[in-house]
Amino acid sequence: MRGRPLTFLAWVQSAYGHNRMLIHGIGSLAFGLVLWEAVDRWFSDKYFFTGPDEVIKELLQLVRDGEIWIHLRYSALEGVYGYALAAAAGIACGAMLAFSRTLDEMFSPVLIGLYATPRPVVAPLFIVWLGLGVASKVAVIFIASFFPVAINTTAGIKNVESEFRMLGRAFNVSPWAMFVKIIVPGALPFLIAGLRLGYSRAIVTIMVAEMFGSEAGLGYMIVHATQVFDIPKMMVGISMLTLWGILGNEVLKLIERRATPYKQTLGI
Amino acid sequence: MGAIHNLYRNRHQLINGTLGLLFVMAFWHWADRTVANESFFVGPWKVLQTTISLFATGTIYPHLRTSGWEFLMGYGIAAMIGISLGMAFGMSKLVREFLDPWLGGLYATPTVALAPLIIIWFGIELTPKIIIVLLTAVIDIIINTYTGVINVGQEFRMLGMAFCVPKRQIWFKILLPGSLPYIVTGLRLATSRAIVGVVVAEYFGSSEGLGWLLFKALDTYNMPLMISCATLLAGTGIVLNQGILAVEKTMAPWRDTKLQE
Repeated sequence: MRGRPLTFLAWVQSAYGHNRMLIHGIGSLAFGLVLWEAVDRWFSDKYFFTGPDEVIKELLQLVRDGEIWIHLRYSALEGVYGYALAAAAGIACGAMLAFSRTLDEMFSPVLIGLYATPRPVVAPLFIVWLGLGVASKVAVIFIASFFPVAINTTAGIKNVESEFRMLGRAFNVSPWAMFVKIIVPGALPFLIAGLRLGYSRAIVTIMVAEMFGSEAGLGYMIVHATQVFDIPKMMVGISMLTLWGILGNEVLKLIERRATPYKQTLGI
Repeated sequence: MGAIHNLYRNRHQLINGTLGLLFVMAFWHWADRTVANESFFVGPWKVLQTTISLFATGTIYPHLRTSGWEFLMGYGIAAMIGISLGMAFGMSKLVREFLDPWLGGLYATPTVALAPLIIIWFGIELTPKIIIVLLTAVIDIIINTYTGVINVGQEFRMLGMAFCVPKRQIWFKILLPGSLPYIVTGLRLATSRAIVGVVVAEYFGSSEGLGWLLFKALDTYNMPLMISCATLLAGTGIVLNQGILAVEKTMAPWRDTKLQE
């Protein structure tokens, strides 16, 4: 490269080479939006299909009305309570199972079975038990995110390599140091993977839990908008949930990279 | 005494597992006795009776057939699309870079939220249900296949290239077998998602199916029927999950399958 005059073409090439990923990503998003708008123009039936311009207009309208804040607040409340409780309880239970083999053998099959249970099945039950308010949704979101967190915590602690444990024992490390310096860093990647899984399930479950009957919330807004064929409003609700999903996932990925720089990550 | 001790030592996993299950059942039974209100909570015994009578009278079979068909079609198409897309993702950097933002977005989107829209587009026949099941299930398969392909290891691929193995053989002899365990994991995770898809699809307009029966029971406050439908759906999920898990363990015994979701 050195000595060669930097022509415009070369500059473009090198800029493209360095930001390839970003450029392709933005290009693909722009292409998608244009395609979306084109399909919308082609259908030109607002009860059937809606374009990005109408969705943005609808979002601005909802913000101006203030209606969106009610739903956002309601869903956020459910999500935060449900997820926080699930994370705390999941880590505690998972750790308990990891340190007792008998408990692990007794309850791990039950946990794994309940993990495979489809959540829309429990949502109506909780509405019968806890009513239409926030409590039933918090319970369903709790159920959805508790199991991945608990299962991954157990697996993470049990998978801390036994050489490291034996090394610690050989050097007569105190139980506290063993826990803080060996077990926690070893188990952390799995634990965070569990938290990420739990988070994405929690977002889906906000929708599922509110679908069957609610007072407010994004899921309620989506279902209600569908019933009156208000597709832009429905799309606003879906994009809000998607946005929460993306943001939360990025935050957890950031935490993952900071907390466990020793772990290699591949994939999404 | 020694014999019992030996038995426990040899079969502790099975014995403890059974004890745990019995404990949960006993707790369920106790909770039912305490609540003692059939329109609110139902014990395990009653659920078993209801389920048996559903099968004995034959009322369950049309629902099983409908839901099963939706599940099989949606899941089958999801498997085909998911595996091919996942392979394309893992193989081609260009495809990955172009579709990555969309995959990330789709991963974060609660696909069940799209169900009402799909009902508007395709009506309330079988097609929209298959599409909903397909949408909920496909993402796990794509992501796991993709992870599998990039984890097969650059070394093997480079070895193939060094020996001038034709591209088709790199695909079929290296990448596909190498990523097969991951693909199976994806297929396993997708079963439980697909069941969610079936239930949600039937909620938004149908006249038959296990999910429909569940919501009908909810509307009429028929708790025993409701919990027995829920148990059937959950049981299907558990059986499929454990079955595929067993396949996974024989295919890739070096992987701790519990860690994958």
